[in-house]
Amino acid sequence: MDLDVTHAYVLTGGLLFAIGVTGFLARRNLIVMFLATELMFQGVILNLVGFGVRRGDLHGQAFALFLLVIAAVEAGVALGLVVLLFRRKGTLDADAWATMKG
Amino acid sequence: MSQTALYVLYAILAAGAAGLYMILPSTRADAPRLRMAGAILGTAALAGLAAYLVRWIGAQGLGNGLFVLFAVLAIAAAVRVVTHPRPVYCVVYFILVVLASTGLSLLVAAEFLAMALLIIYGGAILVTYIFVIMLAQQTGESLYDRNAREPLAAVLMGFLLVAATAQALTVRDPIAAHAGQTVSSFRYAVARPSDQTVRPVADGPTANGPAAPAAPSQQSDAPPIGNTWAVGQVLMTTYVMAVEIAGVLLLVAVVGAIAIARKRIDPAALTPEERRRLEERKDLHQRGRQAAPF
Repeated sequence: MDLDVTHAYVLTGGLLFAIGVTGFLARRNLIVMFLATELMFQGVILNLVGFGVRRGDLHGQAFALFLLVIAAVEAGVALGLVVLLFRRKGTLDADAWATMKG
Repeated sequence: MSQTALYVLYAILAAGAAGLYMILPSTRADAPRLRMAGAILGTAALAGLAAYLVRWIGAQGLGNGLFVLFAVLAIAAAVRVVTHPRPVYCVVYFILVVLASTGLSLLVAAEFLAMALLIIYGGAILVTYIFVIMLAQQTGESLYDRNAREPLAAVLMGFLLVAATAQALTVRDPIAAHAGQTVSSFRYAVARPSDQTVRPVADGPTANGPAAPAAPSQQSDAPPIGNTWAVGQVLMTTYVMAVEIAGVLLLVAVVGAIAIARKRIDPAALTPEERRRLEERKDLHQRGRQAAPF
């Protein structure tokens, strides 16, 4: 029996996404939190590749390329935000910005 | 996938989740011993995942062996990204994730996507992260890096997500007729002209309009089409509007990032000496603009 592509890719992508979610929730460092979102992007890209194989055309890959654009945009804006927040409080701790928690 | 396979997968995922919980940074007194136990449990879960992929999804031939290798590498590196206490090492492990997913893309003949991942993710985005870490990181490990927030809830959340995905994978889907496609049979799919994946053309794109599909009789003689050519055609025809919008989005993001991270100077906070220097600079700019070019 051969490897079922979609099954294998969706499982791998889902695992990467879940690890990314875990990291985003568990880490306190702002930079590592955004790195965890990039992990989630990787998982989604693998999912799109796997589903593209199932469909047998290139639309999945085209979508993955657009996802790459979104990831680049997110990294740029998020890191600009991190630099701003670091300048304000001098720390990367996300809990330093928990004033809205009540 | 059988019911037994699903339960085995649940067990592997549970072991992996428990391992991840133990490896997450913690300041408890028994943290080093816990971390060691978590590393052993996590390695066992990864080995179990590899065995699961081989046993229940099947793995024969070089392509599938490489798939298992890259998948395990990606997941192990991803775990290190979220558990390493030093952000620089997190970034380095993330590059390993990108390399592994580049390999996974290459296995299904997604060459253009693989190279884009390597250059844009492994190159541009990760370099930006390293720059920001160099700008913002204090020396040594900070307390907030050695202490995870709500690790149990976070790990439980991740476990539930991937367990639900695994359960959904067992449901028979309406397009299961295509399920016979495999990694090793798909590897050369795009490069084979007779395949349905891309429409082969007789002489490549013509000057006045898109290339015409080859006649069925010529298909065996048509030159093989690369993945880059095919993806380019899809992007520039079906998704040409989206490509334009993506360009605008990138421009907006660049402007927005500069506007967010720009340093604003409050004139009231300046000392008289600094204010004088600022005025002098403004004056120089003015004189430079008014001066004759030669």
